[in-house]
Amino acid sequence: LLFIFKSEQNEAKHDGSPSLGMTDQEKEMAASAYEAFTAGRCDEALRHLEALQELTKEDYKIAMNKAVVEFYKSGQTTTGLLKQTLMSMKNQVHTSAEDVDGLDDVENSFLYYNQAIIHYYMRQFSDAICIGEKLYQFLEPFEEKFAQSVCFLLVDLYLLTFQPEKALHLLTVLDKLSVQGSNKNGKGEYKVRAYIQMKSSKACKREIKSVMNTGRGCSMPYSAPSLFLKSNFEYLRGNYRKAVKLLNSSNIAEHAGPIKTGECVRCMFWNNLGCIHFAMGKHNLGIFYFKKALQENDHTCAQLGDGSNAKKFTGIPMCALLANKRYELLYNCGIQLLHIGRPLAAFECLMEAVQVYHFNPRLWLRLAECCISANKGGSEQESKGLPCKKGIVQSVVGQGYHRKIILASQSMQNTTYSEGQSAAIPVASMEFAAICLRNALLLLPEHQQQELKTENSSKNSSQSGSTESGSENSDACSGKGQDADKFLSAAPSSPLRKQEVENLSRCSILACSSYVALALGDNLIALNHAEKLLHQTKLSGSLKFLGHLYAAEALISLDRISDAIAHLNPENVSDVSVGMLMNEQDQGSDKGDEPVESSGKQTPLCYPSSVTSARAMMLFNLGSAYCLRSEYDKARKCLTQAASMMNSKEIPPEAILLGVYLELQNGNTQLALQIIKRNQLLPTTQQRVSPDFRKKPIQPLQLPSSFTQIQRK
Amino acid sequence: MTLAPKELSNLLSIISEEACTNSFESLSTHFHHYFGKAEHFRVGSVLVMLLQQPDLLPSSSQRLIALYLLWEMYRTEPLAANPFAAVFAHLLNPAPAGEEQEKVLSGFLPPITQPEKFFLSQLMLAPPRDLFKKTPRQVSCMDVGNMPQSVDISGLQLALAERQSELPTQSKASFPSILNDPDPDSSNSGFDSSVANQIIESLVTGPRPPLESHFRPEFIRPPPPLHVCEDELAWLNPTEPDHSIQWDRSMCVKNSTGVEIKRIMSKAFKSPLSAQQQSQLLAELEKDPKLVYHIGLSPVKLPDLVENNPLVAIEMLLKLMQSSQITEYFSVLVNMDMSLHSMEVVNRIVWSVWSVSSCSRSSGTRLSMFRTSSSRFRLSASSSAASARPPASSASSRLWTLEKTPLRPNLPNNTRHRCYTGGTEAAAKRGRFALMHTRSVPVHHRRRRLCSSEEIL
Repeated sequence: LLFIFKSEQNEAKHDGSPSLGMTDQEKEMAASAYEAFTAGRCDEALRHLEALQELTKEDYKIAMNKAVVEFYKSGQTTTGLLKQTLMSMKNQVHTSAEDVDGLDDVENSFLYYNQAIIHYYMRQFSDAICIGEKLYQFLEPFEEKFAQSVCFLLVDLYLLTFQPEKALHLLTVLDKLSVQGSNKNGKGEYKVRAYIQMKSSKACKREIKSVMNTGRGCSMPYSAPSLFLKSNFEYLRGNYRKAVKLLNSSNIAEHAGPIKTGECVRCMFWNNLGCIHFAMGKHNLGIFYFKKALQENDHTCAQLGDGSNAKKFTGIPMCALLANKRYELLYNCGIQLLHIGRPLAAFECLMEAVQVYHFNPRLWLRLAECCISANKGGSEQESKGLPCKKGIVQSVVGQGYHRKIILASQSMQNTTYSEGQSAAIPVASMEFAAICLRNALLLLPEHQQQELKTENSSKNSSQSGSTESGSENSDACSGKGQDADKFLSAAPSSPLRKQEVENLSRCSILACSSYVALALGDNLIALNHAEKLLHQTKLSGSLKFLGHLYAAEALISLDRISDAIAHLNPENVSDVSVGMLMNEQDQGSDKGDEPVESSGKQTPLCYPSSVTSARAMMLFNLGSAYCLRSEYDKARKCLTQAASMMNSKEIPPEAILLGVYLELQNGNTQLALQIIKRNQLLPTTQQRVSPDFRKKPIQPLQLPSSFTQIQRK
Repeated sequence: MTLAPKELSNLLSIISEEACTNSFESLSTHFHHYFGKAEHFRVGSVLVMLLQQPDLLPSSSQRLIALYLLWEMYRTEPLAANPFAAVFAHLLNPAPAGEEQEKVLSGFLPPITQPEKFFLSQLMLAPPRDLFKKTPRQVSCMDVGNMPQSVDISGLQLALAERQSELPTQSKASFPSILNDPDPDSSNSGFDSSVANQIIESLVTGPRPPLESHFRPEFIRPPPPLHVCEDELAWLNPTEPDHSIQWDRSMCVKNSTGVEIKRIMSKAFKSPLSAQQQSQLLAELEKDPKLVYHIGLSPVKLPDLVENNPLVAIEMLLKLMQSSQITEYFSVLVNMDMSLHSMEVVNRIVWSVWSVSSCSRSSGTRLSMFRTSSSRFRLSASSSAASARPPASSASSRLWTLEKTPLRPNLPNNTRHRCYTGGTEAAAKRGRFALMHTRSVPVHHRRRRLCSSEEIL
């Protein structure tokens, strides 16, 4: 109960005036009640308040303070009850008019503040912000101490909801407020958090220095929050070993524990170690630490008795309501599992997380990636360079004279319909991936130019219609819009910068969308996404390659073979880097004094492994396209050229099947069978020597396919 | 497109070697007994598959039954409408001699014998009744050497070509995916129908039978790589929040002064105050600088106060200078109906602001706040307004204008608006007015001379 007795002067000030409202007796009683309360003598305070209530019933504040005292008496465990009490008081106050007169709110500021506090601890952040911003409008009349409380609450809320710019603005306001008053420590830490969210490395570094230098004696150890922040900073700069060291130096064993502080530092510690190892590419360690963090979190929750949902928000100290970090941990865990190649487990985790963070477009993208990776099927072996026979031969039926080889139909493998299930039920299916990707795209802001236009037009309209209430709304909105201009919320991690959104997220989402649409047979949509992808300005070489590939396949299915062939020009591929690292401007400047560890940030990744293999894939597909136009010579040329570019072990099953197809088309069943059995392409030179009578290739009987076609119609 | 095992065994019984002694007519009856119209297409697909696999349908008479049934199922429709017409066209298409032997391609229809060809061409024409009275075995043994062999199928071919042109290229490029691969080491020890039937069953029945799949050039479709980005994971920092429920310190301190002052204030909005009331009010305001926020002066009410008690209004506005709401008070003020009182208040505020800024060393902060806080005010001085000299020094040349520019509420972002309504729009329409001082007057001077106030429409 750290209240500072401040309003004495206020009271003293009015003592002399003739009393019409409050009697001196009442005031005295109120003063002693407050005194008892600040001294922690709750029962005495309650007695005073009750006596006060007998004298006058007018002031609801007596009742509120009673509720406050009772709340503290319960050890701050009756949060739900207090919330209800405050709510009913608010309704009483506002029965007459919906605050037409703003000054009314100044009178009731404590009521509002307490409500905001409860919203905060119940994680109803937007409600809390709403009230906090309302209070902020009347900051001047408040006494300094209270004004500061309001500001700090808002700063915390802005940071929790990843609005660092707003938080920083408020912190500068606070700077002015507390020129005379005691410099509340922690302001620096808030600033560091804001700069970390904004990824502005320079400002962050400066602020961290001052945080580490102030607020401790020379023999005292650094506080856990400051060490964690510094570690966070080093982690973001890629100094992973240093980050680990800093984390280790925080003495988490001596931390007061979640019941007192509302935070489980041990769980945070393990989680952050997981983050660091993930960034280092040590995924197995990463998953190990995340699991440990989850265990710790479960332990904490059990300790707090969080399991009993019946009496929610009671029995636990209010501050501990924020202790549960389950969703953040599940989010981290899911992403780690996805990278380790366990898409289904990752899907489970991320599905739970997305219920809380459904405004995060990147999280939706990750969910879609889980689905894609879970449905990839046999191509996992393919990616390891081991073409499996299964990719070519589906089965062998009969034996001896009757032996038959059933070729695997890739289109059957690639097209996955999960029948009988609604796509809205989250299963890691391609249908669900499509939904996730649609969400992700919708959550991205429109392209910049468009947005500028709309914003201007909305501003103009609000200018012309100059009723003040209208301008109030637009003001509030444009304030948000400006924030959204630079950052896009990606909770529970730091918000995305605009360029990040454009360069990476949008491209990746479009590429996945195109791929998923192809798998679902939505060729027009696939083409649409692929073309949009190819029009992105900052497209990585890898995704450009995929864009061409997907567009071509969609075009083929739409029977636009010539257009497809244009996409399949191997010259279209000149680079297959996945594209990465955009904070050079941040990074380069301060490299000088502290060398970034060489183990640092990601080396540029490539997909596929090289330009050559990408070109070979294009050539294989080009060969297939030629086949469809019955240009078998060209197809064969593509096939041999592509095969010569690759290690024969790496040749994908589709390419081998193309070889089989060409031999069959050529009437050379024996060679085709040989290719199948050896599972590799064979040089086919002499076959073309006497193609005299093969000029007109035998028309294959087209029944089976046309049958299926008719059936579908 | 699959057949149930039961259906398949029925079909196989109809085309079995033993059935070849029945007449075509009775086979047809059998067939229609087992299969309705809805199954015809599926059955036909199986028959075509069997025709493609000579090892499963070795005898000529069986092939005859298969061909007959393919035709029989759709006999009431025009020939070109038969979905299996392409089979007929292909089998009847005279291939160049010499190629015949090599053409044993897997998945293609193997060539048929002369009697079969004859039978098929009969089907293409109007078949004579008695043809179907024969048994398949009889037909297969027919000597067709002197019978007319070829039938003109160009019409059928044309119709088929037309139909195929509507199909996507991709579909047209497909093979059946069943490839014959007889083991060369195994001796063909005669045809065993039970073995064959077993194989047929595995090709035709089940959830995704090989019969359904087809083989065509496939595209390599690598999945996109995992999205690469930085700082994706949620790092957790302990923050030690210390926000707590607070005791309302304003309990019972809403004191008597407040009540009395509020009473005076409510009067002040309606009529001029007495000298005593006015001085009491001003004295209280002087005592408690924050009192001004608590006594009910909202921007909406400002015009009433200005009209009735301009002096009080001035003092209160000066006290409100610190407020973030001051811009709203100002904008109400300049949008008021023009009157001597309102001009007086505006004038006083401008002067006071100026004097504050010129006296304090934090030069110009108030002034600039006043200026920027509402774009509707434009404060300008003919000589440098920022100079901290008292206005008296540069006498008559100074010209202060407070002009009203058209309403444009683009206030700074950090100022919050309380909503208020007022005749702002009407005021905007009246245009702008300017207050001009042609003579310098000390700030504190009581008698200012209002030289001109003009309304420009």
